[in-house]
Amino acid sequence: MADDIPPAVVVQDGKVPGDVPAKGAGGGSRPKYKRRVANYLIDKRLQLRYVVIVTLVSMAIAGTLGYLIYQQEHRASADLVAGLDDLANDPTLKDFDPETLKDYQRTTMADIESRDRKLVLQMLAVGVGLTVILSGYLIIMTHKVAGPLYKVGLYMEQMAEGRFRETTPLRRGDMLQDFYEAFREMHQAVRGRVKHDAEVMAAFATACAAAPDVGAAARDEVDELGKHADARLKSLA
Amino acid sequence: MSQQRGYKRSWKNLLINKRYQLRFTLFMAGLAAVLMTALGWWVIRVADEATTVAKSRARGTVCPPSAAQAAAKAAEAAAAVRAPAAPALVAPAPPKADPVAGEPATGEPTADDADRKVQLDESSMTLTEEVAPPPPPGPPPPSAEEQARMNAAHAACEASIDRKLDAIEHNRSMIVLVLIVSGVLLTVGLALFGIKMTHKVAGPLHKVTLYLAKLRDGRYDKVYDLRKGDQLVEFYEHFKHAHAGVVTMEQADVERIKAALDAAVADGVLDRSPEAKTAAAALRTVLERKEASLG
Repeated sequence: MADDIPPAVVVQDGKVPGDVPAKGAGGGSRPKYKRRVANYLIDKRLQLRYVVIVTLVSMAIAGTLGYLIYQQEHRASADLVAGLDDLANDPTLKDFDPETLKDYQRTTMADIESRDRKLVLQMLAVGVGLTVILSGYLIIMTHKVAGPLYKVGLYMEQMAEGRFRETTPLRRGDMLQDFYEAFREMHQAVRGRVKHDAEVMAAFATACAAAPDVGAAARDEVDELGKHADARLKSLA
Repeated sequence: MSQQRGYKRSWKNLLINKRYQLRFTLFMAGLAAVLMTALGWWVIRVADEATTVAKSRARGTVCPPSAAQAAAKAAEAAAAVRAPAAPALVAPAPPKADPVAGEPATGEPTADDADRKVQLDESSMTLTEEVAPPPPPGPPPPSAEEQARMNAAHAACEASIDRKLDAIEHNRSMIVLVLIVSGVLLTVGLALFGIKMTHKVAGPLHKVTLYLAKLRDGRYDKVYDLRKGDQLVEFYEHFKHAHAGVVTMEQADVERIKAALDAAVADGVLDRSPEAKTAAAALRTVLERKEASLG
């Protein structure tokens, strides 16, 4: 029954240890990772490149088509205004009260200008909203690529220092799962070999130390090998 | 010494990591398609409005009349002048009820009384019939040359309106066509660009994946640089450091094992201790594997 109970873990800063590999003492130049809004931009060059390109393309499309919409609307307005001017010169309307006609023209002109202004404001609002929402979404989307790469990068820093701690799976929703699995397989294989080799070295050192009448030079080398094996085993912890 | 190997990009193998590349590419192309469709629909709607207004205005252009129209108008005007105003047909009023016998009739005339006429059947007065004055003479009919000029002007005006209407409709059709063509081109172009762009990330990842497989199998080959233009340069540097760290570790192991084995053999401890001899055999296997890995 005790086997069914998962081992307890200590949560620090809202994170389970091992979610992202912990930094060694004085190791590396990367800052400690916390999932915050500001931390969504992990790899600025990678993420912003995509975000900027997609946002610019979208803005270009929206801007061009928005201009077309405005142009068409403006053309219709210009035709309507010209039609109003024609009204003033229409001989069939000479019996109308000129003031009534002018009032009608003024009201219609104001309505046309109001429509044009409203259209411009609508397009601006759509453009700004699109840019903000799109940029935010793209940053989150690219974060799902940059996050795994960041995590792998931290493990690689540890490997460069000769440390092979256990790896943990990616977060749900992260991309590059295949790549990360390939990395984990490699990491576990290397870790297994390091462990096996260290155990073989330690066994040899132990066997030699237990042997009778070992000379000082041999003992020194065997002791060094034993310490070396210990260091390797500690690097797995 | 250059660490660059002669990899070249080819369209055939641009899709290395389909899941990653297609996700980003389809998002970009799909977004462009959605934007083009939604805003394009808006453009077409507004263009339809503008077209309707422009057509109405064009159709409202007043053209000079043709000769036939002018003649008809003149005839209509002349007829209007010649024809006297037709008397209004009034339905005969119902006969008044005779005053009730024994009651005096009212002395006040009614509205109908004013219209009553008295016919004198046996009068000796000479009656003179009122004759309407002759209509003023109308303008002389236009000459044949004038008629031709009028007809030409009218036809030119009608043709001008037709041309305007055609131009307005053509303008609208062009907007729709340009929107469709540019939308398709943009979507396809963005899809190709997206695949190429993501390839610059997927390429280094693919390369690292190949090296990871070698590391997993215990082969520590030389790590070459990325191609020009590839992304993830910093990440690749991390990998190279990790790779170098593993190689350095293996080299340190080899040196330490060799030194220990040499010292043990020189001391003769392997001959005195069967356990040490067995352990040394296992250690030699490890050493051989490590040396083979390092090449």
